[in-house]
Amino acid sequence: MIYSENILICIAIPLFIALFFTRTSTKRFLFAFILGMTVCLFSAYISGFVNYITELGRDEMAIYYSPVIEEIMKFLPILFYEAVFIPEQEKLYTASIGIGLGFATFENCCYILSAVDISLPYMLIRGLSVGVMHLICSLALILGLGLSKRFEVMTLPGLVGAISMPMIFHALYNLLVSEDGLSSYLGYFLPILTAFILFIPFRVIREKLNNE
Amino acid sequence: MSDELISIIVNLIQIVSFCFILFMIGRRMRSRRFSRLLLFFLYGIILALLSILFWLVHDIMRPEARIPFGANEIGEISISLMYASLLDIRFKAAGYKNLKPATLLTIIYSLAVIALWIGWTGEWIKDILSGTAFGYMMCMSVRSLIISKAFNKIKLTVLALGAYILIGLQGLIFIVPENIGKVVDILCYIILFSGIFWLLIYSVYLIRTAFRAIKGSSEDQKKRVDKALAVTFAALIWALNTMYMSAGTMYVIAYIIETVVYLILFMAISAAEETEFPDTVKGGVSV
Repeated sequence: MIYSENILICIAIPLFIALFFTRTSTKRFLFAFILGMTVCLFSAYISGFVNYITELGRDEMAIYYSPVIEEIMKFLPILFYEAVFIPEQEKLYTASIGIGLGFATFENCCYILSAVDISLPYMLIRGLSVGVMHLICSLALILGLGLSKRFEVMTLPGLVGAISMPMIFHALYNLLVSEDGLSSYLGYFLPILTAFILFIPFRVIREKLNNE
Repeated sequence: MSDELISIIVNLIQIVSFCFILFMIGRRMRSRRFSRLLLFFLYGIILALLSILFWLVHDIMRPEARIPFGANEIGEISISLMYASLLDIRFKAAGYKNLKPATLLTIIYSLAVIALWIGWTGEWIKDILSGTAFGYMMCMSVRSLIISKAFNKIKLTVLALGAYILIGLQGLIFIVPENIGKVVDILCYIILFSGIFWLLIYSVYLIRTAFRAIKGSSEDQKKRVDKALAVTFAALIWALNTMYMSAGTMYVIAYIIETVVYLILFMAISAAEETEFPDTVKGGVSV
């Protein structure tokens, strides 16, 4: 049995201390990274609670509810940052990527420590799939938020639309990898493929949003 | 051909058509300015595509399991909200005066639809949330139909009557014996498919006239585009209702019609993008 809180403390403390010795942009990223890991822990608490109430199995929970909980939890700090500090688009990107990566890193750390006998190739695949998936979700979220802000549609539909895309994508990934075989290979390949497809449009839109 | 295979094929057709629409939107965004209309439509299409993919994969991997309220349903609620907002953006400037009776009638209709959904599935929370968003979209659609004057009073009354008769008949199926229920079901299909074909043909006609007006730089181009947009959205809502109220082969036909409506809707949005309207953001993002 592992205690997720212990892992969080182990990883977060050095990063937290590093905050005092780094420059502003690095500091922002580090803080977002720590926040991402903390959000991951809280998401696990909430998922556990929902699992207890709904009495769903582990797979069902991962397919239907965890994506909703995790994406909302990742979205809340970004929304808070945006609503309270009204940062520039680039700063929002840094924060969002930090949260996404922190989340993915913490989830992978807990997975490695809780699972026994994992092969190196599998860990490589997992790193490339889960890690990239959380990154893609964060980028989609921030792109949606950025466009909603740019077009002055920071309304309920705009926000719900921005958060729904990563939610369904996450759910689709979890569904694909829930069973061994062809579907899981497709699932592992999906985030990389999406990253590849989104790379150019994302860069172009991001630059345009930053320039205006 | 088995039902599962047919279901997969029609899903794939819809996925391909959504990818095509996304490609066209991408091309459009790259070459010229775009407004909030196209942005919301883009969100809606991406969500619809992801939602269909989820359904398809779920159907293949877990055919027995019913999907509870989760990410997929939230996505579908978002689609309704997106399209309602899209209509709101386009028609808000005209004001919503003298629309209370129509709005009230639509709200009552939406409540009846929610009651029917609950009757069919028994999933209260899911149906109330999805139904509320769907009802909001219907309200905005009815408002846009009235504001754009796409239909005269007689046509509008026929449409409303058709919708209410449908609800009544669908409710009747719950209480009448099975043999009478089958007759009522056939009646429902006649109304549903007559309605959708009427709206489909009319929306194609309106889009044609709208594009002609744009090319000819006619003064009433905005009015024509508004009409096309309002009727195409009404067609989409009717197509969705047709899907929800159909089963078996009729469901498959309704599903294909919905795909066609989405393609027509993209044309209507493209036409709307061509016109100048006050809600376009100055210097909209041109990518």
